[in-house]
Amino acid sequence: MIDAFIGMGQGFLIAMTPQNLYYCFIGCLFGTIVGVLPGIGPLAGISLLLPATFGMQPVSALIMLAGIYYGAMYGGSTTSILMNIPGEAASVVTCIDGYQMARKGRAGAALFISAWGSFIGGNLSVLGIALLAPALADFAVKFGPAEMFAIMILAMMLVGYVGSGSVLKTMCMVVLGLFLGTIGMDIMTGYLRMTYGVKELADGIGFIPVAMGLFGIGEILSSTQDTLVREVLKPKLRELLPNREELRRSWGPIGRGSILGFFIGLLPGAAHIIAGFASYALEKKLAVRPEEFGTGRIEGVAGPETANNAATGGAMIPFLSLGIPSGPATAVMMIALLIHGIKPGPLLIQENPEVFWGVIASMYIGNVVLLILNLPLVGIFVNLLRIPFRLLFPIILTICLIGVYSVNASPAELWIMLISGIVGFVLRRFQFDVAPLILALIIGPMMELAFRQSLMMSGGSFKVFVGSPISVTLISVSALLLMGSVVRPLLAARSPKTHL
Amino acid sequence: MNMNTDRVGFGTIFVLALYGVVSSSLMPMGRLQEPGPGFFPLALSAILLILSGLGIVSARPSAQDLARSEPFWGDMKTPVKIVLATGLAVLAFEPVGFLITSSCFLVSLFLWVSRYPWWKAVVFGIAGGFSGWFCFVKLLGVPMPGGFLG
Repeated sequence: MIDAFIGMGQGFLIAMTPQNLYYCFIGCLFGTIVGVLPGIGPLAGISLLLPATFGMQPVSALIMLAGIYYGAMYGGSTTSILMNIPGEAASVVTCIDGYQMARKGRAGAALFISAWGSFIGGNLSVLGIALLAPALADFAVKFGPAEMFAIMILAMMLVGYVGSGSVLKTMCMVVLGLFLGTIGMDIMTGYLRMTYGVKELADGIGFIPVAMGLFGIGEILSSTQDTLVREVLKPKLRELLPNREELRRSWGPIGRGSILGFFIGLLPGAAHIIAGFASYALEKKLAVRPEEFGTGRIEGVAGPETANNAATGGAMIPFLSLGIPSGPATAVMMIALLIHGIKPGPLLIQENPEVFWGVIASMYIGNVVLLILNLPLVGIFVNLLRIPFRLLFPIILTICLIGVYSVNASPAELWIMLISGIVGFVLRRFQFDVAPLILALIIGPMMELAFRQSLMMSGGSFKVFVGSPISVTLISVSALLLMGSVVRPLLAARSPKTHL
Repeated sequence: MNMNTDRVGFGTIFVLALYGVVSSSLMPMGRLQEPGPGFFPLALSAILLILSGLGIVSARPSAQDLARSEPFWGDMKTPVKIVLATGLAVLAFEPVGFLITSSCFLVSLFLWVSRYPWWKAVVFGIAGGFSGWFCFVKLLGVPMPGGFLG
């Protein structure tokens, strides 16, 4: 505990240098903008600014990218409340009561509570990282390849189990992502797998082009088929403050959302999306008059908005202390660190304490910056929504081209991005969620390495995966989740009205 | 007859998995003590084959499938135009250079897809190309191909 506070003190010294404060501000501002604009999420935002971090200090790079990540969560609520269009997937649930509040003339109060809840949730989750991540990292130092394989299996099972939509579809995406991760040169033998003479594929399918293709181009191709009728409600500054009754009703949801969001954030997959929905469901269950949810209840805004921001903090724990990204956005941050020669994982706190504690301290500062940005400047951010989509999407496509090319200066990766975009469009039409595929693509090579190392160390015995209490526990939980995943669709299939 | 989109989706993945099984079985498998490069991809494609097979068997037409009156794919003209324009931009990116390619790419999208009047498309496109070049190449120092402009 004392170590954590000393580390935090050092972290603040690093985060409060003028240079890092500047990058924190830029990250938060850019994150808010990408969060406000529908169609560009935190992943695309982080990927776009990734090349700009190449010349930075690693800690500055991560401070800026983390700022984009949690800034997007703040920004995403603005469009949900004022337009009924979620700027970011995590803000979908905020539309339900937030937009109804706006229609009743309480847009300002909804925006204030959303920003305030995000601030509280964000700060409490950062405190959680500071206390939990070092302990988890100490524990994870004991992990061998078998334990690492077991924890990655658990991560994949959790993605399948808690993911939105059909379990079978999610698991298909997970396995497809793992399979795509095997393309390229085999790390142990140098054998080229499914590269078909394309030398750029020898290093494997790049994560950035696939992510930008599936999320950026895929989203644009899908959006061109939708007709968005945009009605923007404009809050007045004097209406920004919530009344005493609204404040009183918000404290409980904010407190519960902080705790719930933080722990859900630890789960891999779309944790910040699930956190919002879970918090909404909890508040509805606890409400005296649950039938009023959906008509503009402040609890329906306070809980989910707090939870999705708290989840971003929770999501940093597996990434920083285990080296396992919990979602696509943290995966890009991991790539940023790897580019700078820093490997996230159990040894990060010992070997690069300035990165670990600097980033955590910067998240506190970032939350203050975001509160200042999001309340008085909400009018300016809302004006961004006046940019018509037909003007916006060519610019987003151009930025995608720049972002992907700048990583490796490879035209082959531009093709991979375009093909991934088409695949993303097709998968969306078939209602497959592409996020698990992205996550599995980055975990795949690590998982294969751990699997093969385990078998080699044990002389080919699969008992190695149940050879230690840690791996037994992890594999058992994974098996239970698998059973649950199998039973759920079977039960659903018995019902004549349900479908996958 | 209405199309069962789930079945078509799982069917597509089944075909991909089948291809994965065939191509990974051609790689060295190694032994359990020392798994070869084909071991893991084969295992994964076999799992994918089973999962997608289960999906095909259990898929039922959704309410959307049953209610759909228009073609499943919707209006494909715009996505096809965007893909074609992006493909041409990718082809030209290195030989022609970033500035000219991005300007032409933007003009073509503003004109062809967004349907702006030609003069607006040209102004927006060239302004967008130059702004991108200034922000990313000049301000952020992101290396972009110069093409024949050097």
